[in-house]
Amino acid sequence: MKPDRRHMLKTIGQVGLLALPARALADAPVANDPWPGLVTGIFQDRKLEDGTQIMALNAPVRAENAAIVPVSLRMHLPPGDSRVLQKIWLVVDQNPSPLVGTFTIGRKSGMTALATRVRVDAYSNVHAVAGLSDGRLYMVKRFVKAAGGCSAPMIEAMAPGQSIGQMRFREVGSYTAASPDRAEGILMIRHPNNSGMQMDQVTLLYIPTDVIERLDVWQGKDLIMSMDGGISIAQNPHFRFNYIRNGSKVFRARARDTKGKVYEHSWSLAKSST
Amino acid sequence: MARFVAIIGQACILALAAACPGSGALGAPLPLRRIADGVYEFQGAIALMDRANHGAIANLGVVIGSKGCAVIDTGGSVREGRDLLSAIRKISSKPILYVINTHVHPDHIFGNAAFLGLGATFVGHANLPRTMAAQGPYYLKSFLPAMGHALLADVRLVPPTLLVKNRLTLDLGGRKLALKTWAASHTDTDITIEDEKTRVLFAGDLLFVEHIPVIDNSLDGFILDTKRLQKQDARLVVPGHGPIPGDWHQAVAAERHYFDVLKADITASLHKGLTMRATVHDAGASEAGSWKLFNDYNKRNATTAYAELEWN
Repeated sequence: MKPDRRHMLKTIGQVGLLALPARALADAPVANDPWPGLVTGIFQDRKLEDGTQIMALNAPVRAENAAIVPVSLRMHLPPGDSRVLQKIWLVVDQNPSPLVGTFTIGRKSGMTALATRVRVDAYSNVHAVAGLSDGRLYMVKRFVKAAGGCSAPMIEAMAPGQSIGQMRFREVGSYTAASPDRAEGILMIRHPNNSGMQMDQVTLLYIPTDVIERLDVWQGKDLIMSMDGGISIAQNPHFRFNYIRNGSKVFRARARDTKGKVYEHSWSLAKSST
Repeated sequence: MARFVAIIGQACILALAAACPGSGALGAPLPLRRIADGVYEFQGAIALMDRANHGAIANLGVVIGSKGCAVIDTGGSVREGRDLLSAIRKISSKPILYVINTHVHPDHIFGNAAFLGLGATFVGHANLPRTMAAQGPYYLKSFLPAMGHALLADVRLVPPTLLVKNRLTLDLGGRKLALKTWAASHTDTDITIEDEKTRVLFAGDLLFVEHIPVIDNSLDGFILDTKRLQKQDARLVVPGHGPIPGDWHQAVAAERHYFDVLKADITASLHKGLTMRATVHDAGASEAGSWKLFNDYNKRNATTAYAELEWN
């Protein structure tokens, strides 16, 4: 009961905050820039270098659906730069829970690109911070016009044959023709990822937060990535990422939600789909 | 605790309302058109809700029986709701028995507050209270820039107390309305209303004419609904948006065609492994010339449909 209660207290604050600055939203898209505070809170004021030369953050200028906003980060280190990506932080500054997720990249994965879908609750900067193997942090950002993604997620009843925790993985072919050992995969998890910000009018209770808080994906024995995520990941969490094929045809994913339920699945790719 | 949260929510709404007195001035009665014996329609503009049209973009209906009237949707602002009420008062002095919301969208429910205190029972889909509570605050916030504070300050999210779970019949005296629920499609709260006496069917936003169909929940569900719509035994069908079609079967078929094109395009791009962003840029593009407001909704429809179809 305790975490629920604490969450509700937090939610009350959010409701008040969200209801009041709505007018300000129309006049000044980003009021009170929360980013400096987030740099302190998430990165303990570590130095964030300009990442525009080594990576690109892609997000729509205007979100078509604030509850499903596709964002992607692609890294392009210059030839000869032997550093590798170790960590990605994705932040939607104006969301009630700004840190969308922290992604830890497997040492041998070779991952240089990651895409997911987020909820965006107000006009906001989206920041991506990449941690490289030399310990330096690089930051890029995009401004996204969207509103209400957290409080208005899609409400989709599970159809027959669908169930929470259902997972799919597929390879979508080689990353580039020049490097056929590099592949791109899509991992999908059916999960409401309830943000805890919707109220059930009948019971007058908030639908409790229920999100995927941890995800691990492996290729054979090698970790591709782990994610620690929160309510800003869109319903039916979706991840698209690249990796270097290590020869194993077995992919495995394990997800845990905030209710403590664990979903695990493995896929045996009959043949690599180059 | 939950009540406390609810009270805070109400306090915010009250605070907004109090900040803008004088928004209750009555405008001109909405032009209601008689489309059958005792059945009236207001046809909204094919447009997005804004200050200039004060939210009057959806079609609204009134059915009058010997005991009283039923109102079908209340418009996109309390001002529009009041204009509807004053139009009804010009044609009938009978009590308003029922206020029916065809679904949760703001252009259909934001006028509800104009009908409070008249003794009317609010009627809607069994999912409507839940979805209205979840999405209502978002609608209020996101329409503020286009509509302005003056038009939205007195909007209340009034949920139905009489819920339609599958079918429900309402007796207006000498005529009955048959209400039905539909598959989650346009939204998860859609109902239709048929006046049995004149066989006029108010389809709500399950039928769009000229206005591009809007998919807010499920493309596959909407395709199912168009099949079921075609089998209805109606003489006249009132769409949620756009003019009443001369041949309503043809209008349903046109809507279905858009869905089929969109589904085929998205399915093809899923097979190619294209991303959501790349897909929604082109999906459905061949239908652009067939619909008004295409650029306002097509990519949004494609986004919703992509997230659904990728699981097929």
